[in-house]
Amino acid sequence: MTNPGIDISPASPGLHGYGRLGDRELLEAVGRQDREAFRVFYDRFAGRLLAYVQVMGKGRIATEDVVQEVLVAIWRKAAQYRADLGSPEAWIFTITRNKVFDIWRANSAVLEDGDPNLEAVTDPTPAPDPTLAVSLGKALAGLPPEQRDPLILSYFGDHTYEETARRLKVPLGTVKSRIRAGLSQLKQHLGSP
Amino acid sequence: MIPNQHPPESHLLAFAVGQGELALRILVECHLASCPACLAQVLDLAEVGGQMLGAMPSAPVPADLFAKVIGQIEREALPVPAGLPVPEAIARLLPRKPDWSGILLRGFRFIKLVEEAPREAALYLVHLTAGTVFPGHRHRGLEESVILAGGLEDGSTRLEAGDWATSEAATCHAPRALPDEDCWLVARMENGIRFTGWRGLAQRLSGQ
Repeated sequence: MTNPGIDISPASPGLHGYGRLGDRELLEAVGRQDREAFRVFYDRFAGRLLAYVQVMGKGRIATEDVVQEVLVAIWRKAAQYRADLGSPEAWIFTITRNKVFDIWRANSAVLEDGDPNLEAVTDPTPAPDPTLAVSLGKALAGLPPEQRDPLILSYFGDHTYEETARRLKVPLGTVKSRIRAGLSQLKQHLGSP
Repeated sequence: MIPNQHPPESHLLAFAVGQGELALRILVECHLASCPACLAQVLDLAEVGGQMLGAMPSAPVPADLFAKVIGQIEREALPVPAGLPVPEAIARLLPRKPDWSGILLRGFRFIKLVEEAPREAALYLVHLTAGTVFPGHRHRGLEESVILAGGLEDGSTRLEAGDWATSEAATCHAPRALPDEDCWLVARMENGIRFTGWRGLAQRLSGQ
């Protein structure tokens, strides 16, 4: 499964080759348990994962520890990713959120008051893709509050469905259906397929 | 083989955004491993979140993080259990020496993998040898399962590898493993089952 003897230093010639791969091809190579590909993947995504978990987590648990677990999970599960079925970022988003919630549940983390820090998501200044950050913020702002709030809390943020239902004082099923409806609206606004 | 039976979309959404409890997540993951249609749906549901994650400004990365990740990967490398057709998610839950349980039925055994206290639910890995009939029983709560290998006949329904099966509370049935191959499945069951016939009598007498 692993190849402990492989050279994964930045000077390794293979890294430059993998560096030219797109994210889809790179993640598929990680799925073949290719450590050089994983090193390039790490260089490409570790900073963004740290930023995302920081925004999502609001300090419930040590960000660096969580991202370490996420990266290990990505290594183990990358073979399940299918480049022809969706974007690598979507797959990474799913793996990350499942791992984060698993860790929180295992540690019985207590939810703090306050909203997820979505300003960090929608602030275009430091983002690698400021256009997207702006459009996501605008798209969210354009949703009716009954769809936007559960999306912000449960889809982007750190609230479980149950926490969101309590916070918004609506039934659990309503939370789920509003997230689904809000997601459809959001994708239309963003022009996603 | 492409599965014919699929989980509800609400389960796929819960999986896409990390909202499923561990047992449910593992069930969905087992199904996704052989169902491109549901995997595509999960990735579609996660697409907006993926766009957000992809657009995040990078945070500073600690210099030793990669070494920690590689160290954990090497420490926790998992040998595939011999003779068990189980995916990585299940293999990680198995004890080093699996302690199988039974119900006084030749050809049937199971291991409890996960317990969920809130709903008195548990996740089980189940093995039936080819052709074994699981005795008639009534479900006290919801059961959801995924066939990992082989298959089952359940009334008029035939379930094969990757298929998702749902038995609502009060469902009464006696599924049979297909005759040509052992059946392996993973099942999340709430509140257990009540056997019919002499097993049910024995169950009641034993206070279960």
